[in-house]
Amino acid sequence: MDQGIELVELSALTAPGVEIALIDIERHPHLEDAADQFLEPDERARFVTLRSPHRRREWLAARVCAKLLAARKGLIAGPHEARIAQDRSGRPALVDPAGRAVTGITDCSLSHKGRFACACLGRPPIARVGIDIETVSPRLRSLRDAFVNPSDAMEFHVDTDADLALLWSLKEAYSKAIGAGLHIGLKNITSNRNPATNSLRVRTLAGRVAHARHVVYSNCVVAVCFIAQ
Amino acid sequence: MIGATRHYEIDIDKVDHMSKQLTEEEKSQIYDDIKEFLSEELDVPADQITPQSKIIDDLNGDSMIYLELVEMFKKRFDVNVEVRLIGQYFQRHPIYTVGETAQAVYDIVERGDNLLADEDKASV
Repeated sequence: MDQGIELVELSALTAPGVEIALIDIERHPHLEDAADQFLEPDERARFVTLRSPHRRREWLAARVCAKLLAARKGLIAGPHEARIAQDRSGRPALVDPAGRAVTGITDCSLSHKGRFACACLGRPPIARVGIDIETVSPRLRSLRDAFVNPSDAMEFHVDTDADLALLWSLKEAYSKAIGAGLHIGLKNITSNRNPATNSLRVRTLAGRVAHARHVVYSNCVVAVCFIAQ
Repeated sequence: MIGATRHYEIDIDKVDHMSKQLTEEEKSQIYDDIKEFLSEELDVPADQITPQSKIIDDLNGDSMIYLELVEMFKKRFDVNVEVRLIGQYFQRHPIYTVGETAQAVYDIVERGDNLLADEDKASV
């Protein structure tokens, strides 16, 4: 069923109702050969339009990751029992062949960066999830003023690449969880630690509060935000 | 490449962010700079980048690259527009290709804080 594909389960990120896995694409150089075994017709139609080889592998790996995760958790019988649909804003959903949401899955989020692709599935009591993966690199330094809120500096070391990557990932994951894009303004999203549990909370001033977790995996930050029903 | 110096013939004292009009030469230069930036950042030969190239699907870009481009031109043209406003513009005008990105930069530079004002007036 799974072509020997290795899923890394990021247990530090999981919570009741939050399932997460990651695929190291470099460990599966022949992943594209298995595309037909994982993609439904409309997914294949989209797949063949992707011209960048990197983009094609990352896109495929994220979908393989979501379907294998759902199968391994017993939520679908196999990869062909579900496909990743997208609404007009690009928000993904794991649906059955008839286009209905897969029973027991409330939400789905995908992310990929470089050699990694990851997927997050929400199950009751969780209603919304968002996941993001970002490489720790100097790239975010030039964007600091565009996405870091002054209050972030009270909680994070915003002069370090590691915390900039963490903040970026948390904000992207939050905007995915609430179904928004840049228009909510990444700078308006703030994060703070809950000292009692050492977990993170992410929110906008007027928006919903999400719980968040993160892990650093092979020089990448993986962050997940989730909102209960 | 980010922050690299490029000289535009702009007299900053004469720039009115409410009605700045880019010349065709300036627009052409902006397009070339976007292409050069994408070529260097995404390691794609410049001659393979066309106005129709999709930044994510064809060139393997990411969401961050849009923000990097916008911030680069905001600094270069001394335009102060909130990212949230630019995000709202992107929501109304989904951007996939290099050509669409160049058009977005023209709009941001020309309209500044009034990026959506004309559209909002028209919809009232």
